[in-house]
Amino acid sequence: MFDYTRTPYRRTSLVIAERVAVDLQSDEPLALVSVESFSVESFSVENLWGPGQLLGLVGPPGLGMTRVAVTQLAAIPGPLSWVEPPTRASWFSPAIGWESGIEPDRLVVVRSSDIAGWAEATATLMDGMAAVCADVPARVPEAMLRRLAARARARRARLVLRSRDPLPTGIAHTVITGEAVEWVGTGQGRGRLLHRRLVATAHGKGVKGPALELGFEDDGTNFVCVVSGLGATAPGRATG
Amino acid sequence: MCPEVVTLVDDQAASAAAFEPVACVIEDVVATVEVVHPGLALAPIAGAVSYYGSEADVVQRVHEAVKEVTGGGAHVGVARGPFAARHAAQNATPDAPLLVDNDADFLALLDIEVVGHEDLAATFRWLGVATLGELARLPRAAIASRFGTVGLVAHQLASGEDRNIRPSHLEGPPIAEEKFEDPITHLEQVGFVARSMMATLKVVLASEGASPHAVDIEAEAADGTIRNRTWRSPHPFTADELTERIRWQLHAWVAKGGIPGGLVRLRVTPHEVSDRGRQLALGHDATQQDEAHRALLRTQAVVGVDGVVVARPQGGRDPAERVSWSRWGEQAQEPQRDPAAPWPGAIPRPAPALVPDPPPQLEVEWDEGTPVRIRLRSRWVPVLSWAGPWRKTGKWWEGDEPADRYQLVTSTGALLIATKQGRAYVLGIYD
Repeated sequence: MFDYTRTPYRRTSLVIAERVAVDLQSDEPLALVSVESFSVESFSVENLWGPGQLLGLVGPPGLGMTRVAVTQLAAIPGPLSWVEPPTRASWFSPAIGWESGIEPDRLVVVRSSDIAGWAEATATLMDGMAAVCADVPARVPEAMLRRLAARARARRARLVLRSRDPLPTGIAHTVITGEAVEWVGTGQGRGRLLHRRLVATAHGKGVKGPALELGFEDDGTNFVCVVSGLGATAPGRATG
Repeated sequence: MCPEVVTLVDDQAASAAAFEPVACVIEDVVATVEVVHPGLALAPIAGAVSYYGSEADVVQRVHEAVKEVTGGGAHVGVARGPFAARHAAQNATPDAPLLVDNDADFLALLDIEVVGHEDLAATFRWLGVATLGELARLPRAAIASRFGTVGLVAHQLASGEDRNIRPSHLEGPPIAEEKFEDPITHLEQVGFVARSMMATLKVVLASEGASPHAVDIEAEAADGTIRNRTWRSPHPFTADELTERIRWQLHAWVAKGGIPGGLVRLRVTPHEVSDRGRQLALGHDATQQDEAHRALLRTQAVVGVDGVVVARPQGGRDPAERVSWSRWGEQAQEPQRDPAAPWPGAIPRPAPALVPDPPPQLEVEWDEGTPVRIRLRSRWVPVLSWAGPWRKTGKWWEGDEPADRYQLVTSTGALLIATKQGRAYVLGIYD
């Protein structure tokens, strides 16, 4: 049974240090710098998006952007909503929300049959939910996304757009783009998926200065962001 | 193993439909019937006793009427208050109704667990209070001081003081009524309308800090037939509970053919309005909850009632099996499988973020039992590492083929797949 009482997020550098220590004992090819050089930040909503601001999470399925979206929602108290794209190709699984600390009663999933319904539902939910994450369907008109962003600003709503394709410029306060993923725990027919490291870049108004390289450590329940300095392997490689 | 065992889902709407004939025949004997839930009805019998002559005569008529419908009779109890009457009925047998002369004396012998609050009963038992009689003998002020409202209500029930609703000072309870030019013929439409009406009603009542303990549901059919039924709850109704009761009741009437031509008017009148609606949990933001409720109602109007869903955890070996979906705003069904059970062979955490439904087929190239590469759209991607298999035997008694589940890691992410009869399917994507 999932342990809903565990709160993700509030991680300290001590936790990171422990994890790094564990990693160093393994035989994985990690190019880690010393623990002290890590710049550990709680990757919180206060940092990169807030009421009236839109957070864009871009990347194909597999790069962990759904998980990033869920951790962002989990940090916000109150009722949450996840809007599915109007396809039946892959349903969002609320189990990752439960693992991240979202109580089952707090999360409502909305499914629409067409793009117009998807946009209207997203806009409507912004009027009442504490935060909304909308999984952006393919070939959605740019004007529709801009209207949603404008509505989020007008309503001071928290909106996450999780998109496979790049978002139109200027609509999101912050855009995080998944670059690479590395899973740890599997071998050649042994072990199991334990945790992963995600590499992403963030840009937009929420990032002061040029694009910021982000690294994420994720074991399903605990999710931490290490800003610039995570010893992840280059994109295209994955080790088990 | 009992492969012939069939698990039936608890369908309260169907139960309400099955119970409706019972409520109707009781209504033929006693003027007013209040349904608490399908299977339990309360009926004030003072008037009927005056008409028929004695409690025994009334009970006998009710008993015979119910037996005619169900074939098995009913457990009938008579007492001054609903709490005592309910337990009198539970202690009665189909052949021997139980008529209680003194509620306090009858309740005094009941086990403390009937207070209905498991933790409270356990605490009382730990303190040496094993029966309602022993609880009733304790000073009420001390119980209220130590256990708060829950303890106070338990003491009142143990003392035979029932229906102790603290009336709220409203000018008059608001009545929710909707008329439909085009008769509604689908239950789903009724459920949606009812949810909207009850949300509005609850907002009005909540502004006064009030909640109803009973509601009259009145429906008018296109041919002019008017039906009504009272539903009661031991605790104040929530908007969702009211919506459920309306849906159950209309389902029951429709099942009996009682709304010919469709519904043209629906009226809900709250009764016994108490001020308990003012009590909010610590940290509970009522305004935000109301706003969310209204937003979700409007979303249902956009995408339909089936498009707004909530999930509960349940037991299972595959990611899809571990989630029990239900429509938002309706009473969630109990999980069919216990999530706390061990579920050997279950895929370990973390859970995949995306779970295709149904699982699409995936091309996997194998080399002596080892997955080498998979095909993603038009290109082949090498498998960097993998784990498994986790064997799932499936419901072999229903013809399910056994499946082997694997976690495959590629440069583009990780997948959970199942192989069955030489074919591979995607069960989940770790996004």
